[in-house]
Amino acid sequence: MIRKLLTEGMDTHDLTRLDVYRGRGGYAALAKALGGMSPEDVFNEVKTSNLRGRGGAGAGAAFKWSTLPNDGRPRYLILNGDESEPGSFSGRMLIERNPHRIIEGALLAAYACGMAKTFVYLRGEFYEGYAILKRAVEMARDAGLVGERILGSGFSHEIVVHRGAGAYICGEETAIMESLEGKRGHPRTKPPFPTAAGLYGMPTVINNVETIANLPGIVENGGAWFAAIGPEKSPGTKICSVSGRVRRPGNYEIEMGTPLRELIEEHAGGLEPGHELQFILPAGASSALIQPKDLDVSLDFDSMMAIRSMLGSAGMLVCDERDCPVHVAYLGARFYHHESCGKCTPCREGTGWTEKVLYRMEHGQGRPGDTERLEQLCQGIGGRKCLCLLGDFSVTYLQSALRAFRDAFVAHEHGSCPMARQEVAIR
Amino acid sequence: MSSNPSAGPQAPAAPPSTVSCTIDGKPYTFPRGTLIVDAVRQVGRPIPYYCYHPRLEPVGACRVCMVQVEGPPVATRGPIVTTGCTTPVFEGLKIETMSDPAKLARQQVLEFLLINHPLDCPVCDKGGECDLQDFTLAYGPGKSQFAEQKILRHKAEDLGPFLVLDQERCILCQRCVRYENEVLHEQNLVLKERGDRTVIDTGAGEPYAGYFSGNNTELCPVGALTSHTYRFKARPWDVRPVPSVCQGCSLGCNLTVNLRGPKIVRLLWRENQAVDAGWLCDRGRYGFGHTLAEQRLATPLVRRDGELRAATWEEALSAAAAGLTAGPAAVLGGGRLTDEESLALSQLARLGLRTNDVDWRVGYQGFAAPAAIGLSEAAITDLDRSDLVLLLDTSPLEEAPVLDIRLRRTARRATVIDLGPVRNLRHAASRRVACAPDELARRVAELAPEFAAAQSPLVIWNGRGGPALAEAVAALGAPLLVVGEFANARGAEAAGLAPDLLPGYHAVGAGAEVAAVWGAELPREPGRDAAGILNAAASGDLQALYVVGANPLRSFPDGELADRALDAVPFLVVQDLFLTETAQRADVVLPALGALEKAGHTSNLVGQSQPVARAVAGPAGALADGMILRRLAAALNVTLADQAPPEAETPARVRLPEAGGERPGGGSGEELGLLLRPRLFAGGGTAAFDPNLEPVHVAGEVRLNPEGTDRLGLQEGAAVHLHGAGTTVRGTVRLDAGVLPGWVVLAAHDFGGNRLGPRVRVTAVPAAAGVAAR
Repeated sequence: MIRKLLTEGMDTHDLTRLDVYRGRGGYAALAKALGGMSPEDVFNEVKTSNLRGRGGAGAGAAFKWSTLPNDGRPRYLILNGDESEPGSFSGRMLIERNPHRIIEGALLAAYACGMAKTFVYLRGEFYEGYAILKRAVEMARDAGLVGERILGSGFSHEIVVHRGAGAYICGEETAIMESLEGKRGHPRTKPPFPTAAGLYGMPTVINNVETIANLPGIVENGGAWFAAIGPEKSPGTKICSVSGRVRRPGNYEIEMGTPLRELIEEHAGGLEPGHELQFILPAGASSALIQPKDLDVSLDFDSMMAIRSMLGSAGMLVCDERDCPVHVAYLGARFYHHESCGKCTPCREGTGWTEKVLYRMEHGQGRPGDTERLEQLCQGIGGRKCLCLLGDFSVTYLQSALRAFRDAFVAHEHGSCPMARQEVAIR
Repeated sequence: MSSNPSAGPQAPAAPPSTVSCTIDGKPYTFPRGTLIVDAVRQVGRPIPYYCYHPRLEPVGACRVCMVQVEGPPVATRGPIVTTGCTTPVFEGLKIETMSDPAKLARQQVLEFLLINHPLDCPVCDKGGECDLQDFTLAYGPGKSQFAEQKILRHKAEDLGPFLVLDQERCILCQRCVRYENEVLHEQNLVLKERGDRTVIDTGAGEPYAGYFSGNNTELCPVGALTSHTYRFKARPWDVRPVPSVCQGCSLGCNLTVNLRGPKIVRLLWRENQAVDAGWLCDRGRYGFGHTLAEQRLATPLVRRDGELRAATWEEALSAAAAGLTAGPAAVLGGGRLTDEESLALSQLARLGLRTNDVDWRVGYQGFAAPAAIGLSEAAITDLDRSDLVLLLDTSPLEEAPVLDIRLRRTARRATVIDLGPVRNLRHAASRRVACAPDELARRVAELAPEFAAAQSPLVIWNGRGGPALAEAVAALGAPLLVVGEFANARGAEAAGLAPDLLPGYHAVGAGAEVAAVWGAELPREPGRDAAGILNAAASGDLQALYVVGANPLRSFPDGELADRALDAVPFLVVQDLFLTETAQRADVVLPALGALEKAGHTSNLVGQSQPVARAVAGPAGALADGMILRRLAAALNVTLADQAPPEAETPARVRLPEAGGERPGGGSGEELGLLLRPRLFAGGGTAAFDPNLEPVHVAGEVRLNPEGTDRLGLQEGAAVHLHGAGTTVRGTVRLDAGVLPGWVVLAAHDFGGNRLGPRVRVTAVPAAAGVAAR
């Protein structure tokens, strides 16, 4: 049986309505926490649960919280809902269809860590999610679930919903803070880390909305219950967004550790008849591609790392034999060139250069040496030479494509495409 | 909130304050927290950087200061390459600046920086002193692999009165943007667009409006931000640097004059942390155009048959000597002389003209040294640690601009009380206490408890306001920074260019030590101050007036009195660079050399005597004030002493005129009280004649509080008439909520404002009249 922790009831009920959400057990975890648990109790349950961040890096949620300095300064919680990764749309679904779960999770995190205020940062394009989440916060406030003395307890908390202006970089945890402060969305240098000096210089925790949405279940059923789901080191479930050459693209909540093959072939209905898998980009544009030989990998943080890829946001872009890797690489390069914030040199200049080379290759104007040039560019941008990870992400997929499909790239140097591409999955 | 879920064991003892590490194999010790880039610089190893600047916060943007580091806390990962500007040194860290990975990383960054760069070095002003050129030569790849189309952008974009931007040359190091943000707390320059489309621009696309734009051209490591005045003028290897000191205001910022042949092509900062913290204002940086201005006086003039006609120096000096000794004479001015010249003028007045009717205070009548009113002196750097600052009806921004930069930093940390009828601190949080000029003393007295409680309080004041206000300030007991009215007000006062002072702050009548050095008896009766001198002249009590580097018709608060005095005095000698309104009335005009054209010393507002060099020759027919004084003294049979008289053990006090010579009225009915307040570019000194400053010249500016202006039909930019006592002046309205309601503020030195008297009526100029006038 497939366990659904986050999407439970979403297909059959309108969970954006407070009465429906509460009718299905919503805000019970909050009541439980405020009714008899100390902040330490809540923190300990989350620690026991071994919940890892769903934003991509997979850092332990409780570990992040534990690095907050105990110096009396106000602490802030930022919910990262800037979901801008190509092929990732799980957060959007949660925001639009289960907003109270996010609010409840935020309140639990805030209670555990003594946060002064929560800021939900939504991607600029989430007009609808913004309206829904804002309305949900208002409903919760009217019901005494947000604001002063929540549920009659001594705990008070405010939630601010903010919509960005449409920048991929604002999903980066320091750029998100700059953006919230009204500045350009540029990443900051680290250290200091956000937990030491974050939003407005105050200790700040940034959690993905999906991470936070896990908290009500953990508090309600206990950390041990959660820790028992899936692999020991990556417990819980993950909502995977599957798109591209599959018969049933969509969001699928699976237990961590589920084989990738099961996700693609069973949940997403497999590839279209008569076509075969060529590669999968498992975390949107920012991860190394997965070849068919690795299709049996378990979907959890560590197993994905073991095959030199990553689970990341689990936005699976599935490509079959019609999709030329050079074309997909060009689309990725175009994306990163467009989204590079321009603060640091290698990413700002390198992404543009990469796109120009790939544009030529893709348009029959390849030149001998282009493949090598791309390899050198990846080397110049990647390897932690940039200020933030966007630079590294912008070459990870490309380097893996160059490793796996070097022949295709070399062929493009001479103006030909071996894939005989007719149409493309992603534009 | 007390709970930290898992605080964990805290480090028991404070870590040692220094760390030891190696740089290129040699061991060094640095204070904890030192950035690698600073450490490498300190030990004299080369390291390239663009975004890093010692006076700005590190940002880690250009990525060119890559070094290889190994050791804790990165021991487990082996050597890695990282940016020196964002990584502090750690105990046991091994830093390699020239390892292969570090060299390769720098090479790649430099290659990236050049792919969209126009490589137009042959026509770039920065060529020869460009970090992009230099570091590419030292660390870059010999050849670029880039074979794509470069991004094309705007070249020679006009950003304002002084700045020009070449977008293609910009490497987006953000030094300018960060300077605007961190140092000025303004946002005159910002980043627009994203990624490699990013460009520098002014905030709203409006011309750059601040007073400190020129610093950007020196911060810019490449040829992106250049100045209108220097564009295509010289190559760095063609210019000759001459260290000097700015004499645009009393702060005395250090600078370097750059000459190409006989001409000044630019002025550069010369960092002196104790004075200017490394910055210059635009008036100081660009106000050298007067050295070559066409209107410069190049020959002495003597009035014959009612007209000023060219004369030889001999004719002019003997005419001056004869006129000045024909009867009682007085001396006005001296605040723009060097220390040596001030002493010479003081001696000439006392021994040659036998008078104590001497006053440097031709504008408002204050003082220059805190000791002159019995107060202790603050250092400029005291602002960096003060917790309470009183800004007393003084505008550092308009009167000593670079001091305002330091004050903005202070205001971020400490309480700054901005007291007076006009808001003076605009760019930082401060406590504004608005009050009319006649309430100042009472308001200052109210601050006494707060000052008593402060750790390190300080008062910034320009000395205007009269004895009661000085007494109130003295009662606060805080050290004082006096923003002088003229560049060398301090030197003039110290030289005794005041009716009751002799050189070295000896009192008039108690000058035995001075007399001993000068070898002559001194006049013993205290003289008249500027207002007294002008009154005496107007009523026929003076036979002659000698005005040195001053223009009372523009600057004296009661312009009408100055007018009558100059009309009535039988003989007038004016010594100046230009034929000012006052010089036009003279019987003898002596052409003088300007600040950058003569050598000597100048004392800044804290009395620090700084040497100035003769950078340029100036007009051939003009002489340095010191030389004029020497020759005039010879004509008067006075031998000027080379030696300065000794300082008095207890400095004598200066008598302050009531209200500092100002006649504040206060509004009543339809009338508004008139205030004359300094404006940097309104034409004091050489600014009125400087072609470089022409674009920012302030004239006819009428500042009013928006309150009640609707009723008068006055909007921003409206043409208005100001009707004062017997005269009408035309101007343009600038609504300014920082002005106390009921008052109107005109720029001091802006011609005509001082003729209006204490109260004015403001009326809109009828539309038809406005068109006709244009």
